Amino acid sequence: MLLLQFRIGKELYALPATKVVEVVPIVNLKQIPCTPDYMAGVMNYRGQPLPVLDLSSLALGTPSRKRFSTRIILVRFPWPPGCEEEILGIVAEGTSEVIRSEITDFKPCGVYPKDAPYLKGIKTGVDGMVQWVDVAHLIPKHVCEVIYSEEESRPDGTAPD
Amino acid sequence: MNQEKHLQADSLDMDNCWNKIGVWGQTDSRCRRLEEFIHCHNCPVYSRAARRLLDRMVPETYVQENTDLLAEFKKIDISGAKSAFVFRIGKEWLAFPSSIIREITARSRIHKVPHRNASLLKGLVNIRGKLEICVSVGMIIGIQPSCTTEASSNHERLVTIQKDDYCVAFPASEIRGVVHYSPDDISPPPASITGSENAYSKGILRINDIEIGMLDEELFFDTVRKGLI
Repeated sequence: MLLLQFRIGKELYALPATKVVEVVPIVNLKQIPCTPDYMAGVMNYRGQPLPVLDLSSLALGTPSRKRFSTRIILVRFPWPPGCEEEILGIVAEGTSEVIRSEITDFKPCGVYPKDAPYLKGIKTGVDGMVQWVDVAHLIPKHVCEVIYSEEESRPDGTAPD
Repeated sequence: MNQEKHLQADSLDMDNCWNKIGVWGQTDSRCRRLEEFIHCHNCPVYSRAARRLLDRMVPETYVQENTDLLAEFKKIDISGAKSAFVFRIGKEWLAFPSSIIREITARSRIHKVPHRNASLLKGLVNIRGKLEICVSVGMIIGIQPSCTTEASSNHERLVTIQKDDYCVAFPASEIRGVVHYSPDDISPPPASITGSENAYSKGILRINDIEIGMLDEELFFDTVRKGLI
């Protein structure tokens, strides 16, 4: 299977290409107040506002650097939580390579941080270790509740009928 | 000039081995990888270094430019667009759906088949070593023979079409190529295709003042099959 490879800090990560809708260059985002730092903002994707998350901020606490290889990966993500998949943007550094490997190449690494439930198995190779990123668990559940409030989801704020 | 072609490694803090022990190196020591890769261009170390050029910081104009580009709606709506292969037989411009076109080759000699005087069969042609049946489109759809027997010109080509493993070739007076159109652009067949039977025409497509008769490939293949038995 094909995987899109990217970097968080200096380490390599990958997510399955089947989850990817498009990879686009970094763009200016509209900031949304009262969201965690890693919610980079909202991008205008062909007239449609899409939430964008910064992977580097999420994992390391430092925002992604604006390099040519830093790109926004548009992935299908269950959003709002538990609902159907919507497109979510992920800012990731070093997004310039697609790798071919099997899911069985990724072995359990025995370390699963509670705050990073999206980190899964690791593939070892000559070019270093690549860790699988599970898109569906990118935003921790408790954070979902903080940044998504169902009552206020209507465009004009009125209560549902 | 040559110097510019090499990756400028200094600014990115990387080992520019290709300028030291690689093919651009001035010293006698040679990289062992060259035995396998022959040239640095083929070496993964070199390509990895090239990819690192993408790690340069972006100018602010780049971000703004992309923001504007991505904010625009996609203008080209290709849903529902169809493509047709346009060619000329005599005076008439005709088209088949592009999907049935297999190959266009130079006009080659048509070998006549003895004891077959079915007018639609022109003979057999050799296409890449394989014999294909060659038919006359003009005869099948009823374009006047006088038009189809014009003196051969440089524009003449042999078109091979295929549908469900059934392959047939025909000479065309000229090839225009593939055009894309929307089904709405097709008007019903009027009497403007002089002398042809409207039955084979699914409609008329007008592109740059040329009226193109869209041929019904199902009917065409049916006629060929029946006509050759």
